[in-house]
Amino acid sequence: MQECDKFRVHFSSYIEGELLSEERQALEAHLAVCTDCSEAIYQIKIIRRSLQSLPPITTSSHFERQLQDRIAQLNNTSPWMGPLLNLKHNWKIPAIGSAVASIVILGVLLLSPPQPNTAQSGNTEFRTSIRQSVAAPTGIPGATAAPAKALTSPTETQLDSTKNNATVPRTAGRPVQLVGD
Amino acid sequence: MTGKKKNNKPQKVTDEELIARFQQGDQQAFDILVHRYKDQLLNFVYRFVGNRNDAEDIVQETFLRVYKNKHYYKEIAKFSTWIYTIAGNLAKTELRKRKRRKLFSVSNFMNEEKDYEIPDEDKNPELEVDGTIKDDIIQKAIEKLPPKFKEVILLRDVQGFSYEEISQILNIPLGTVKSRVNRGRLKLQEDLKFLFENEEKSKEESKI
Repeated sequence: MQECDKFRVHFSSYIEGELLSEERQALEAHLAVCTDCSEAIYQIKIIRRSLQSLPPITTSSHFERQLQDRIAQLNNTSPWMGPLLNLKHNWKIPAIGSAVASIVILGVLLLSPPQPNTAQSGNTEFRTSIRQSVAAPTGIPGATAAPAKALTSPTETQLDSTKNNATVPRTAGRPVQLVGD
Repeated sequence: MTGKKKNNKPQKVTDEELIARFQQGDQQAFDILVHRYKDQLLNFVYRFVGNRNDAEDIVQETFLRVYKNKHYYKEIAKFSTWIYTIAGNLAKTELRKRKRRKLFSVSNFMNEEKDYEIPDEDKNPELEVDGTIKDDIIQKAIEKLPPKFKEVILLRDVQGFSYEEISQILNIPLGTVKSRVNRGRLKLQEDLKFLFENEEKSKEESKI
């Protein structure tokens, strides 16, 4: 079988008459004793003849008309549409670009140094805003500084609460009551 | 060009002259090239992809590419080599698309590609009277070939290109072309030998 393999690489050249005389003689000597190889040569010749005699087919009657239409369509395409139409075929370029951009953004977000006590500061802000809204129920942004400061200093708050007792609503006055009571 | 195409009437204007005229804006030269190549390209692509409509689309696309990229053609290569390279690449792309579709198609998991059915009749119905193999059988055998063997077999045995031309069309070394042609033929022989086994059987039975 190994000997057959050695000759099989020359089958095509032999069939097409391109084998050098020395190689051809060696192959013919092998074919004289090897039925498998001689049958294979015979079958390849028939297959080749069958391939060569495959019936030709012709293009449909509207082929050239259709092609002309497609060319006309191509010529009528406005210049700025070209890249858009090309995207259909070259979709990989914008897709890869977007993917790279996403990875870069993600990388920057992940690798940037974490801001210390982010959650805590958030809570602080939240608490501060609660306190501010408590102290300044009117919601006027400019009125926030003084009440916030008042909460940090009980004595002042106490003073404020006594002064503004009539104007500050009951709910807003609760922290004052804690101190005052 | 060699093989079957040699039998055509002598052409007054060469393909290379026509493409040169087209590059200079002669639309009629392009039309002549279309007329010259449409059928032979269709035969090549049809045998490659096995579907007539797809083949016709691919041939149209081939001409569109020639139209759009006419200035990329350089006279160092034959026009036939250039246009067959374009058509062959498009045909291979189509086969790759189909392979992907097949991979993702659930229905195809159930319907595996059918193999040839070995005929039971005494006479061999797969062979023609002249001893050649029937067209549909040979077409199925071509379709089963891996693309790298299919393209060289079609270019060599169906289209009649020389080994040198195939080497230029596929941009692979001459030795590789020869080796692939040989392996492709052996593969076809392996796939179709059952036809001949049946032939042997019927010969032996007729002797009895």
